[in-house]
Amino acid sequence: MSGRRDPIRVAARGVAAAGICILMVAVWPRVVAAHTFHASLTQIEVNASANTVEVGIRVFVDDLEEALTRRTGRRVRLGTTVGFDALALDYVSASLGIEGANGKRLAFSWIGRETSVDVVWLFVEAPLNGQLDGGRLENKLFFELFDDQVNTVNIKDGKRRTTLTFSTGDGAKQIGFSVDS
Amino acid sequence: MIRVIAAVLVCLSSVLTATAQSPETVRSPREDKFRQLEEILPTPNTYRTASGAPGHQYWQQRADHVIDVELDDAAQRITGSETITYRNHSPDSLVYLWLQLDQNMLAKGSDTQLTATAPTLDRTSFDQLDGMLTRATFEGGHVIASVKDAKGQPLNYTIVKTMMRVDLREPLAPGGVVSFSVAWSYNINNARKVRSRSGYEYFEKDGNYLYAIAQWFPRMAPYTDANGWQHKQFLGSGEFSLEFGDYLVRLTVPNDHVVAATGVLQNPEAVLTATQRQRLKIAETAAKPVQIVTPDEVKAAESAKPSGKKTWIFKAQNVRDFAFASSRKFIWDAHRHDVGGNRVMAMSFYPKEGNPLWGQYSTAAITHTLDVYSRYTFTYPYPVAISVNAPVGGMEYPMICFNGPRPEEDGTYSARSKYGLITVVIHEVGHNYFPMIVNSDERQWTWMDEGLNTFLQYLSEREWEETYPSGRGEPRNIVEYMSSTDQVPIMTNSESLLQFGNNAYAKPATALNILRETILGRDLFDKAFKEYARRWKFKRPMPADFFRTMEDASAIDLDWFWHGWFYSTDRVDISIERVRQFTIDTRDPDVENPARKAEEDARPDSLSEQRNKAIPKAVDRDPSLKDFYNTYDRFAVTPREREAYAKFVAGLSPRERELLNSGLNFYLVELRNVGGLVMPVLLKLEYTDGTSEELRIPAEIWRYNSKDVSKLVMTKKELKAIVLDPNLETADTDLENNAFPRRPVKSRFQLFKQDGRQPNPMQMLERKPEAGPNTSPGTP
Ligand SMILES: [Zn+2]
Repeated sequence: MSGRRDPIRVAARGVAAAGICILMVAVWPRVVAAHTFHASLTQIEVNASANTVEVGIRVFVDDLEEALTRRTGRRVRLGTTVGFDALALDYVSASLGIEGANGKRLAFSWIGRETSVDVVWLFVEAPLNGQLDGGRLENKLFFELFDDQVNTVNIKDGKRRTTLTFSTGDGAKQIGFSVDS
Repeated sequence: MIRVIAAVLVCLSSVLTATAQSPETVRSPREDKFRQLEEILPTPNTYRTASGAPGHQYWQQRADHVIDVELDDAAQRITGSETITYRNHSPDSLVYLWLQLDQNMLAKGSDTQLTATAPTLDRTSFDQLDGMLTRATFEGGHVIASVKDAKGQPLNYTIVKTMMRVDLREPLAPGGVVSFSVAWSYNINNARKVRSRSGYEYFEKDGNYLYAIAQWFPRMAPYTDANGWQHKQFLGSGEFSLEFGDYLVRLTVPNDHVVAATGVLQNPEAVLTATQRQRLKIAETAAKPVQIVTPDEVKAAESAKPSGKKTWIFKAQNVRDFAFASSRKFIWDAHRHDVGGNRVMAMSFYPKEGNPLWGQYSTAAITHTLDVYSRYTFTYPYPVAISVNAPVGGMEYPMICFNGPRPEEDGTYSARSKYGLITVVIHEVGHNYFPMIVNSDERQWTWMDEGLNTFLQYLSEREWEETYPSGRGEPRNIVEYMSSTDQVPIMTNSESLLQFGNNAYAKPATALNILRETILGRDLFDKAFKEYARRWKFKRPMPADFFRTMEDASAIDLDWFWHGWFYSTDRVDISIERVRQFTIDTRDPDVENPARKAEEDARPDSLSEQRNKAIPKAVDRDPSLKDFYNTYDRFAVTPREREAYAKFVAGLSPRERELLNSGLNFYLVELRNVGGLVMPVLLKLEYTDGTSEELRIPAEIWRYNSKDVSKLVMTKKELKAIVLDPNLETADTDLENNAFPRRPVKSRFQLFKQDGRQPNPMQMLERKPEAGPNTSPGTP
């Protein structure tokens, strides 16, 4: 299919009639098949010696291609689209937000990706000033596509571990490690 | 097995009760990871035995169908009528029957629609908005025209969302048969916009439709010994639970359509051309797929109009459902394949948009699946096996499945699409075994068919080619999911599963792979798994029947395994906490004294001792200050010591003397179960002489204490290191504590960053040329 498909913005208008209508119709399952589930898994690890945060994000290739296609308004395919990695980094940076304890949002740089049949691992990295513990994290990957998206984030800082889960619509959550992990 | 151990448990618990009464030992009860499942599983009865087999009074209902249906290509509409003959094999009288109306999931105001949560709207494309509006305005759902008894008199019925209750005029007695008919219609959804498990696809370029039709007729809800009526509403995730029966279906479609359906075509002379019938004859004995309808013929059909209608008649025996696909766009290839003595017609139907991939791989993947699955379960019992390229990701029905992958529009494809297609065909054709024939209840327990099927899919992929890029099955691929703390157990109802793919597909598939490779071994596992398939072929198993059969056929108590992997969210993380070395004190002063001296010499000097060394000492300036004690060597062997030793040895028996001089090293390996999931302890012992050996300890090592245990390793050699789970068999989520002494372990990220592109098959995928060969499809 050709032609530009610009993203349009749905303005939030309080509880105006139009706003309500759109929200009502948007609630439909995206059961693409018997076997479609909308999930991603992110591993975040603090590298204390390098003062960085190392991030691996496992997503379905289809979902990522669809997200990038919508974002750019042109057909994006892993393996054929030139500049795919830059688009992916841009999308990850917009969707996965990590704030350290100092309130500063981390800026990712691209490390690479590892592809299997239907999933791809995206690797990004960011310098970390200070602590992750007490910071905030949001992960709205594919929320714009699926109302049943579930994003799981495992965070590891030395021996401390925690998991945060984000379902479509969830905002940022506090990063805190349980005492005994 | 279960009963014997239960007797032991009783003794144990009485001991525990006794100690708990004394005031100073009041503690919370220790968690018993080996607690028997008996108290959780349903009590065995005459329908289901304690060994996991169907009981001597096992029963299931039966529903035979005769259906007439017409597909309206102009309005994309289904109109049908069916006569259901329902046989009550239960011991109960039934005053009403429940039928499933799955299309009602797509009706306006359905629970599916109402209970879905909102997507974010900050960035919405026109496509997405179009989809939303199409869904909102789609007039979906079953429209019931009539429900009548065998005499044609109307029966009362009540529709409750996706279920319909039909009130019988008289109760249906045990052993009784009732016939009734239902007439209905519904609008077919555009599957690209209103996503479902079926629907139509419209091809803008040639103006034609492709239909993949399923869950299209009112189907009997199962009535079972375990659950009564299974009429849990259909929300979209929990698939189906159905009754077996025979089907006679007459499908009326435009006369230029080609139809693929569950069952065997009864009237080829009426619907196929002489040429097509001739080609089918060739396909009977061909080693490779033969084109029954060629791409050129499809091209001609695409630009022509139908001149009337045709009725395709299909019969299917002993199936739990019936689905079909219809289009003038279908290329059709087929060949008969011998599956353990059953000669099965393997066939694929796809539009030209499916080529070049489909012609080359679809039918080949079907026959491969039938071969492998039949070996691990039972011989495929049906006469046909079909794969259709349709606008869904992948969905299974008896003998027929719909699969989505296609090459790019320019006719090229990536290796990723190729393996995507083979994978989904294996998976969906594989579903013929679970749950189409082993009829588990997916509305309730997704893992019982998806988990078992994904496991066999993994085995089939391994037999396709050595470097097949399997996504699920390998323990190391589940580690990230297992280490997240926010999950639900596998034994969770289908509609409540979080992370559906990992929970119901990958985790059970991996668990079974571990059970096979690490716990039971291939022979024992394969025998037990096959026994489960054999026992429940064309019957309806429950989770307990699987758990019990696997133990029944293997003589291994696996309750701890089901507990850990299926009933808990524990993860595998075993740590080697400490290793302590002990040697035998020979008491021989000529051996022990030098050894102790060496130990003392090996002790490093303190900083002060080092610095003080150079300072001149008084006894050196004036040697007369020295006496006996200055020259006394406390490690020197004295005649008295030698004499004492000789006396000691003289008093020993020859066996005791041998032990004393055995030169054995004792290593006490202290293990901690950090993750909670008990698993076998697999140790690789690496010796200083460069050799190594593996010690495989069953999970029962944790039976008295599931948190901390120690294992004694006796060896004449000296240990250099110990590695836990050296072959990555157990999905251990933290490898950092798996070695003693500790070794640095790199994360997935660090491995990638360090090695960059590792030469693994997954990466090769992307390097392969994107352009596929433009071979003509299906050419043998
Ligand atoms: Zn499946």
